[in-house]
Amino acid sequence: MAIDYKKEVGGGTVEQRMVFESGNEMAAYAAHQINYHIMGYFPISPSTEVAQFLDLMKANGQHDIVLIPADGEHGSAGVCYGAAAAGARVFNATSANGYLYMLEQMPVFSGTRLPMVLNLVCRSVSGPLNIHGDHSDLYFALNTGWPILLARDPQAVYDMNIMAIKLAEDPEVRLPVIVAFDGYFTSHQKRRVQTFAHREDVWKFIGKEPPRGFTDVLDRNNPVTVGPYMNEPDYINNCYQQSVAMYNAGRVYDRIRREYAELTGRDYPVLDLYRMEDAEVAVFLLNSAAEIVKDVVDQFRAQGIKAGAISPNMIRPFPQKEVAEALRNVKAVTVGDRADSYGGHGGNMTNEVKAALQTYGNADTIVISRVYGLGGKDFYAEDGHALFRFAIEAAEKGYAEKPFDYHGHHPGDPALAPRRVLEPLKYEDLKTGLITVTKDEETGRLNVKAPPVRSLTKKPKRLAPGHGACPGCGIFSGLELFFKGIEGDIVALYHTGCAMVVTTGYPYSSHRQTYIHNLFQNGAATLSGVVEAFWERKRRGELDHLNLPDDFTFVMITGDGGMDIGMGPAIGAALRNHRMIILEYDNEGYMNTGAQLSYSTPLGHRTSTSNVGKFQAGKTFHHKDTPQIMAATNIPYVFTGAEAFPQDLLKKAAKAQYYAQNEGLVYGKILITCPLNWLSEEKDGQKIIEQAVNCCFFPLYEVEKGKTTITYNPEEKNKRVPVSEWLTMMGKTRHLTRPEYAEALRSFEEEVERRWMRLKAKHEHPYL
Amino acid sequence: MAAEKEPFDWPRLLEQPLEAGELEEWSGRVAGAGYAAVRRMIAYAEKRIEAFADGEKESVERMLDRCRRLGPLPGGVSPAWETVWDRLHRMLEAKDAVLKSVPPEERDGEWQIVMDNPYTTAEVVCYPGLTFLRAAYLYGYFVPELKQNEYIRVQKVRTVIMHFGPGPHRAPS
Repeated sequence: MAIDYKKEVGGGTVEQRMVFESGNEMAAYAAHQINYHIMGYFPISPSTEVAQFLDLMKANGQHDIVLIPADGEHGSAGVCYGAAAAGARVFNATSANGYLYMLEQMPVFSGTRLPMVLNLVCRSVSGPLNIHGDHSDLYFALNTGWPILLARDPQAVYDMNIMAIKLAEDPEVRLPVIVAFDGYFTSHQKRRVQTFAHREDVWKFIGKEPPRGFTDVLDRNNPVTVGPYMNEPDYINNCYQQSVAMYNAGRVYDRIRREYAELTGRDYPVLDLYRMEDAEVAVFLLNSAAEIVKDVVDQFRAQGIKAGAISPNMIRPFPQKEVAEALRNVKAVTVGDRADSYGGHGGNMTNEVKAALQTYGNADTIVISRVYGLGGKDFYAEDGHALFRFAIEAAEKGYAEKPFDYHGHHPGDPALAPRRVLEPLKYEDLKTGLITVTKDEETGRLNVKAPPVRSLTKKPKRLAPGHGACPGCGIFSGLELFFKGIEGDIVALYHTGCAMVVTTGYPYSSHRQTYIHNLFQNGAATLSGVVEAFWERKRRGELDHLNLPDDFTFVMITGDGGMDIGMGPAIGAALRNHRMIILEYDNEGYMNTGAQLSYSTPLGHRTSTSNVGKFQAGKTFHHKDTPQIMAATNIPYVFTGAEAFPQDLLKKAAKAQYYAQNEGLVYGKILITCPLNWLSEEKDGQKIIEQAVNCCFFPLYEVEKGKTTITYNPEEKNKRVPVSEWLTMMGKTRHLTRPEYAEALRSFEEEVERRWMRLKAKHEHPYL
Repeated sequence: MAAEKEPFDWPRLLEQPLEAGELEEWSGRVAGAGYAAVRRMIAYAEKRIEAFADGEKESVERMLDRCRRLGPLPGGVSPAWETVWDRLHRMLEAKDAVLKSVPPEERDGEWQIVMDNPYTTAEVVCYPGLTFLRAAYLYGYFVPELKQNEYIRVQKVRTVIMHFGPGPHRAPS
């Protein structure tokens, strides 16, 4: 049987206890027992839970780890690097594109020999966007110089995390280490897990403090230059030492795992071999699928076929000798790669297994390569049977008929081929002529004549109904109201986020006009490329045949923290002043990944990474004032808007279109409700937004050609309310109105007041 | 960033004798300053109620009366403040009732506030481990907020029997 009951009864010499948890929970649990100094992180599914669980434990006072929500994965890697250079124990977790975004930092870490532990919760690297598990991110890690440990189940996630930090800090290694496990399959499925009952026993094993004696940047008496400019002849030597350390890691790991086995009764040899002792056919798989295939081995054995399974617990350094030894008498092995090395005639594991055989003089074992399970495609026992059959067939024939192929792909259902179900919107319907924008030649500012919103109800919606947004979600009513103010055609770019995810589940799309997606660190740059291509192709006459009645209005839709990770490219696009609109829907968090804090989350608000407990009162720093940041780039027009004030938003949309078609970049921010994560009533959406405006947390204003105008002043209408009136309407903030959080509330109130007074001063003075 | 200078000397304006005509003059200034000034005046009054001890009720009442005369009708500044002075007065009365009910020699030790509505499934709310003065303040703070069928208790812990589980480091649930 695949289940090893011996693992569950608790062997070893240390006191242990059983919990029932997921892989992500166990990564967090191990981290809190280790009590790292620093975790720099950025939310990305499916790894985000690791930070969430740690934050929850932090709120309850269970550890001292400083959790730093970075502005992106690249930033999180920077946080970790700096902390490691400063002698801290450092931890991080990421996945997929997040890992690729920090990839540039990975060789910096290993090349300067700073230990840390990164949990890579494996997920498909897109696009098209797919958040499910495969190993395409893991394979990018192979050349970064980090030892890589694998964990097939939540128990292994816990155990490998404890061993990983000891390996990373070993004097013979001194390298950052990855613990890789399968997204969702392992990260989210709960299993029985044995843990050290006492963290003191964890510290006895790894050392309570990181080993000292290595220079760090806080050692005043030993100044050090970290990361010098290094050319030949020294650089190659640096790399050689790194290579030596990597191979040392294999040997050191073997020692550590034996010590760990003695303590816990659980052993993780570099290769997990299942019934390989006399196997004639075998399957080689990484991580969770390798557990499934053990049942298949038993079934083949019952039929008299000598089958076996191999799964490494470590792939960097690659256990070349052990693999060659395990396959010495095997006639054929199918190597399943859960990611392709496109054009490489096999995935990375296939080619490394082949290299191992060749290196150790085995020219007989036939290697069949199959790419399987991409994008979270399930791996069932039937798939295991198929992989074995490839090997059995090759063993019988003496050669592999098809050495490399995909397994599990299919031609698809022609009935589901994307086809047009909605006719393109008619230009004349979109261009109502009811909204006029004229320029005041004296002031240089715009005058807008817009009819009441009800007059524009015939104007077609840009998004078709039937998308998957949550009940009460304010994104689409907010966007549609904004689009009511836009005349004619748009080309929209949506950042990754709720608005993108719920409208584009392949093969369906809710977008009735042209839509493009890019990951949310790069949308502004992408749209600026589209914009400039439009103008240049138009200039060259390449679009004449389309008889475009008017220029497009280019709109980038962002939210869910897109203006955190995407801030740099947004500022870049603003400074280049491309003719486009950046419209941010502000839902005060990363809602599409499970309500983590973003920089627009206000102080004290509860999110899944700013929990409320005895030791933490929600988010610990103030919200980002993105309109003011964008205004500082001196673009022609910046505005804020809210659905609760429709006429105001309509006029601003019209102005935004004029500026984006004629002068340059526009940035606008609309506050929208998220009942699911604000823990509020759906029916209260409009009222909550209205109170956010009336308490001056979200003032309505515009900065037009550098001149600030408050477009709605609640004080003048005697409608201003204390922020507590707004906060009591949402479950995520209700705690702030309790007396024990009075200080946090006071701090928030003071910040809101300060920003409002500054805004009023700007409103009154044209040079501010 | 340096804190903005407070344009109003609230301790003096609300708690010291004023010259003839001064009240009217400052009242005009507060009205002119609008929301920001009224908010700070209310915050001062709240702090004062939080801090007052035995024998100070009358002076706090006078302070609240000065607030009513100095400020404009708060409901005209913010709809949230229609009844703010009445609410603060109820806080004052409730806290003072606790102070008067417990003689100083019985105030040591640990105190608790407990709130519940026996007709709902909401959890009982308990503020444990309080000093007497903090408990008296919280009692006053919550009394004006009580909804139908809710009750509040302030109580002293006489006997404690305590046991720790295997924690404090438990796996997250």
